[in-house]
Amino acid sequence: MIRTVAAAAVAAVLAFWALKLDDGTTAGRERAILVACGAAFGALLQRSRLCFTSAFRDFIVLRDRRAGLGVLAALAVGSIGYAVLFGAQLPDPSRYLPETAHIAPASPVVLLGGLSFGVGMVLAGGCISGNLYRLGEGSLVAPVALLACLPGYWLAFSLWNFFYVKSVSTSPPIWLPSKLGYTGALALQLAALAGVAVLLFKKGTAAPQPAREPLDLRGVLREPWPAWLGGAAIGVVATFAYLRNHPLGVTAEIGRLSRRAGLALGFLPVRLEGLDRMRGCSAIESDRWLTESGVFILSLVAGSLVSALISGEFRLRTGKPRTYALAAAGGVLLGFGAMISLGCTVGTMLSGIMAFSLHGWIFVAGLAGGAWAGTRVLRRLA
Amino acid sequence: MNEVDIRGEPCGMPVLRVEKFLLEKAEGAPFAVVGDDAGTMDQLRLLASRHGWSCDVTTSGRDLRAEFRPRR
Repeated sequence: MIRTVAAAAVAAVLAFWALKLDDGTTAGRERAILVACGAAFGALLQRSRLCFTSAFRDFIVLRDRRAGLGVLAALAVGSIGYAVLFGAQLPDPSRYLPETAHIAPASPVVLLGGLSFGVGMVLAGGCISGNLYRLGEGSLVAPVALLACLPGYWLAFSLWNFFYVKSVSTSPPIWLPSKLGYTGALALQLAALAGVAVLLFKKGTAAPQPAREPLDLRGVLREPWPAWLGGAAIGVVATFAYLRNHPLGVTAEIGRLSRRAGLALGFLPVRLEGLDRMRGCSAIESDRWLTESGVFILSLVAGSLVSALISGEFRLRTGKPRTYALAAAGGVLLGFGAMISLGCTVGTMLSGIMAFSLHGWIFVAGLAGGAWAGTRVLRRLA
Repeated sequence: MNEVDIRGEPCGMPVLRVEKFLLEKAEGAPFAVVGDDAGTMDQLRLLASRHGWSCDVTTSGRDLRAEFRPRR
């Protein structure tokens, strides 16, 4: 009963905040919509336990294909949604890139970022969005991983100009529809996703299901949803968010705060070459105390909190000293990888691939390698 | 019965710890795992079936308890 009241209270605060943000201006309405998108995203991640880290790690460790299929469902649904929106927005894809979509340079630096992020997410027990939704579930380890992203960002900022001059500036963004048209790009992407799904079905294992009562409304709210269903719903949320010109992404605000803190402490280069022109979750400077990305991630945590309270999964969870140490080490690698890749599993993997940008696929290749290496490290430490 | 405590561990590590215990220390004898995350306990079922063991999960106060037994 207490949990239900608490969930209703948090939901009411979210609704009030959205109404307050909607001040009648276009920008205000967009922020209010981002509250809804963030809350839905957080609730879906929590309900379906769709962790992007699990998609890689659980397959490597247990041949568990469920989270992987969830991610594939999100990418397939989102790709179809983006293709429809791109077609309406930009009928001829050969001349321009669509505005605001996460289409970034297809550079080896993105591969390096994916590797770093992949190791980091396995060590930290979750990627950045994973740690955000676990924060909503009451994890006290998640804040350590998220705070540890800051030094990772600082390290990446201090190396950014080197990466930019050596690689990023000479690597063009590769947008598949500009080469193949929308139909060709969508067909290629769906075929690639189907190929990965076939691999997961052939090499993966079906998880044994415990006996359950037939689902009623209470069960729908309390029992975990299938990952594929959560993934498909995330694809719909991602499409809707892009319809409002805000591709999903969670790291822009973390990057902005890291940059601001690093500049204030005086150990970051004042000029970061080309960064402010990059698409994706780049750490663009702003004088506002909370940007759209900040609105989204706060709503994500609140949405996860509401869902965890309703399902009875909210609980303050402390960790052992080693857990905090791993979260801190993983967090540094997450921050480093997210900065040089201009996003994380949400901003670069989901929003990049849905937007048919090659850099999203390069990031995934890095993630897979990093998750494999991180699992080897974790196995030694276990 | 030996007991492995995985409460407060992040995702990933508990499954690897239990797998290590199962392969190196359990010596075929039943053992129990105490955890606090339903998702992790779900993965322990999969781990058990991969190694030919059974795994029954029950609630134990605020925690969850998984009992591993070798299948005969």
